[in-house]
Amino acid sequence: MNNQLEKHLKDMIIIPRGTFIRGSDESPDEQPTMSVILNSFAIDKTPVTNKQFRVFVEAGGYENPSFWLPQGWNYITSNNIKHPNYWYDPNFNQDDHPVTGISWWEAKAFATFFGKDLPTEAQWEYACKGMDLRRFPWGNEEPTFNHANYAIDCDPTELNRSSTSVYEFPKNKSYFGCLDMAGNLAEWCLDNASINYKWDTTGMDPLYITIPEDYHIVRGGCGLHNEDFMRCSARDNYPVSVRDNLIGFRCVIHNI
Amino acid sequence: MNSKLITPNLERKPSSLRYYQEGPPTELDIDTWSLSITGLVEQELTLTYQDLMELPQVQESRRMVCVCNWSIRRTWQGVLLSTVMEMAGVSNPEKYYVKQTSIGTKEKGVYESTIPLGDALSRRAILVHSVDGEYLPMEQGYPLRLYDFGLYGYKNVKGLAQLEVTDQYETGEWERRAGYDINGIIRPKKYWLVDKKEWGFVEEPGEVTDF
Repeated sequence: MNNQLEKHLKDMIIIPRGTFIRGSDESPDEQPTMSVILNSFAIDKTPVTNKQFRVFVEAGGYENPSFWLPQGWNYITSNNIKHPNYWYDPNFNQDDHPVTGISWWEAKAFATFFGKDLPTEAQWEYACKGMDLRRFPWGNEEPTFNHANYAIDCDPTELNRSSTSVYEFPKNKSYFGCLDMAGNLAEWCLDNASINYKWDTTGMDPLYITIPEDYHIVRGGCGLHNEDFMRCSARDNYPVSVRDNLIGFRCVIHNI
Repeated sequence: MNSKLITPNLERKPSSLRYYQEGPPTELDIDTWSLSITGLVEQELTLTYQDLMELPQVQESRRMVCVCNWSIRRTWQGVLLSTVMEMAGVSNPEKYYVKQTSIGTKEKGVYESTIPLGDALSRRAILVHSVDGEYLPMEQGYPLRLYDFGLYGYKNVKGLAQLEVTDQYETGEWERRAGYDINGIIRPKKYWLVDKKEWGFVEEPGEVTDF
């Protein structure tokens, strides 16, 4: 293993090639369920934190078009974007909290900067539920506020809510050991939004791409959504330009 | 509150203050408040609250949807947008947009949102002054909120003060601030149905009529 790869794999979890059942019978957008084969990949143990994202900001990531897709570069320059939307908000900018207020473009640029990528939603789901069909990252136990930062009935207890540390809930640990996959912030994925999985005819490293500007999948739920979004198979999607305090991300290295 | 109109599970509706970016007005004298209709109209109008109440009224059960994945069906009372647009003399509305501006606050300014006028009229958009038989609560947009029920809530301005008919499709507050879509059309997706205490999966874009 070369030094650069070894450095990249720090704080990542290597997930070997495997097969799992993607989707569930709990919502039409999670169907049809299907056996899916994924090549090995590495995924961040935690969502990208503000401290980690600061490296990108301070290295001039927002000034260097080489890290950006052309549409993303156009988006940040035409809107004079120089940092995440909640960069100066103490409710969301703590070092060990997941970075938020980042569009899909910004998440993708950060990943490119570090020689990584965003996870496909199949990779994200596999990292979350592994091979035992668990409903939530930690298993089948119903969520409580000891598991994750979420909102019963989509109504947070605090009007002026905040994110939590990616290490806040030790129980919020997935089949493969990823932390903070449920709640806190949803996580951008590489796939464009789709209304169900009928597009997937092979079940081999699936990835649904239309055009970059289309809505993208997010996974895992957030502090503004209820427990259903925290299920391993639950899906949601947002415009690529959204910089609300609902979404963060974690990175992968494909075909490790 | 009219008991026949009470929305089930209303006590579990997420707080509207979370979504009231500029905040409810700190003071509001309904006797001096008015709605102005300006722009590409034959006759600019200034309607007092009493003027609005004397126009033909509608009462409709319709589902509002928040971009944050929850929704609620309630009984809304108000005046059809089409009534006011006819009074102002808007011809060819499908060519125009309507820019809504809120009363706002000194501290946070006003909230603006522009929507296609023809679409809003075809979807029977309502200038809502009451819900469930009561005046709109301050946090939900008292004294008036324009509701195009085919659009997410962020496109429908609370505490409405002005409607401007325009040929410009301008980016609004929530699109500028948080990057949401300018069109704001409700997407096929799963939504928490507050009044039903269950999830519903919406198959088609636009107003939710299945639940």
